[in-house]
Amino acid sequence: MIEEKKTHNVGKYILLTVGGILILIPLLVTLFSSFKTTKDIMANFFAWPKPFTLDNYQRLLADGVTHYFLNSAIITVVSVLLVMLIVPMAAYSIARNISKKRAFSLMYTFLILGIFVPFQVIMIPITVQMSKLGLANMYGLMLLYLTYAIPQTLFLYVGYIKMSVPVSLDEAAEIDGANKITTYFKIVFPMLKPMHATTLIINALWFWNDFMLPLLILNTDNKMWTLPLFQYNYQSQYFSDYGPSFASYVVGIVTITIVYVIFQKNIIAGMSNGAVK
Amino acid sequence: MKDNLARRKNRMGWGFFSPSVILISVMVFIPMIYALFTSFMAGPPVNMHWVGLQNYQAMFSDKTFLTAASNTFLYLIVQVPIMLFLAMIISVMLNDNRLKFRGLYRTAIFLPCITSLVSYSLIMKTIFAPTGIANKLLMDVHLIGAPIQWLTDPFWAKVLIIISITWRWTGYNMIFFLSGLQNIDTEIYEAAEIDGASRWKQFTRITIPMLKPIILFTAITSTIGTLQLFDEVNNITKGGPGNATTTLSQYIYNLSYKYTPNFGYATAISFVVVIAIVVLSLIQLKAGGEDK
Repeated sequence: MIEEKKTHNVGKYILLTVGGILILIPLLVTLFSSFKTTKDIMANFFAWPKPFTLDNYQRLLADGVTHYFLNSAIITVVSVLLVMLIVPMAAYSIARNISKKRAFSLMYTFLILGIFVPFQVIMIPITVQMSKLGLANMYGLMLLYLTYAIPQTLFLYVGYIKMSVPVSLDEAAEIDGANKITTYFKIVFPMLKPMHATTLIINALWFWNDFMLPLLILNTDNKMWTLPLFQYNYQSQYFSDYGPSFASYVVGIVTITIVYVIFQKNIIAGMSNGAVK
Repeated sequence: MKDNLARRKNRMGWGFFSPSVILISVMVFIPMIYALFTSFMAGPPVNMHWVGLQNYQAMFSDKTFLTAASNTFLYLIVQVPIMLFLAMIISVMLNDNRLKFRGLYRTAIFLPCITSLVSYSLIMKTIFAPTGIANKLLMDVHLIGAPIQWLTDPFWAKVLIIISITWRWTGYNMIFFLSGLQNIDTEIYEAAEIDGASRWKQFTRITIPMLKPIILFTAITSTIGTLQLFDEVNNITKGGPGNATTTLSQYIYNLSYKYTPNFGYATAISFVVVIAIVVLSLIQLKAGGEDK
């Protein structure tokens, strides 16, 4: 019995390791290439960087990557915070009232319907509308991210609250004299931690890497460019000079990977911290 | 007195979600209504005129549209089940508390969807070039005799697109499965083990039913994602060879920005995508038996 379990586990490790390596090859190639001269990249795409060079990164810094990096960081952080402020609150009110009042289930359906709208449908009108409203800038982009994150994020929060935050907690708080706002911020919000981590990761990832919306909203002024817009233009600027471009991909990937590694623990750990089991 | 309190509580409930409703109305539904009108018009963007259903009728005899539609459904039927099954198996493997380096494996498998699109498509093209590492590997183990023309053969180009999407999005779906698995009480498995249920039985009788909401969620979002597939196709194969790998989204994009702008026709096709998404999602919701 024990013997069987052991071989089973060895197989699992081998499978996961081989799979992991297969998955990582393309990323390792990106990393290696960022430390090679363009000539070496062309000569052998998959080789270890030899000689090792930091030229690509120095050129990247000289070309002002810091500014675009900060633009992206500000947009991502503010948008994620806005989502966390607006959406769980709506989810809480919907999850608690949906079975009692028809209006809430109607509104929930209305908000969820947004999932079904392909972006291509509203791509042209929204671009026109945002520039008419004077919002073809970073603030407009943040509002758009907040809005387009609502349907999916709301769906996840409502399901989670229904399953994992018992109504008895609200009632206990109310008996103690807490009003809805206090109950929400002091008791419900902290209990949603695993969901906060999940939605933070998926939304941050999207905001950070998104190419289409910044292209439509911010492309007019290169001071407002985000990192992906910079990468895109950088690639066409140095047409066949791959080195600095690979360095710029590494900067983007490493940043968001750090965010992921920090928050992924909370997806898992959060559950065991729940007040009621 | 009591009435007053109830009303105040009610108002609070509305206040909690009205910002979301306002935002969605202004930035999704108003543009959508505007787009709906556009889909009944034709002509250059500055001077469009009403043509009724003409755009919708034109699709049936448009060869490119029909190819794009059948490609899109092929990706949907083949790729989504493979990806979701992989994501589920991997997350069950990773959910084992005794497994070492869990965080490391989890991160490795999630990393592809962190990668920027531009670099990922360049890398995929290099790996799957005629003399690339993929062909070399397959020939070394004698699975194939001659190199596969991944980018220029209509069949293998589709396979390449499917491999690429699976590579990029399996880890993303895995995250949802992992958070769903956290919700399953380990005591259920312990009880099943005492009753002598095999691992496979535990998987099919406990894990899959308990993950049903997550399976439904990932199936619907992946279906929507596939119906809107654009990035991979546009960057790896450019829709080619010919139109062998092109998708509806790419065709819409080309009609709006690449060819002579034809916003009316492009929008009409995008509404066909909306209808397909709604119909498929309703079927999935029905099949998933979401009755709450």
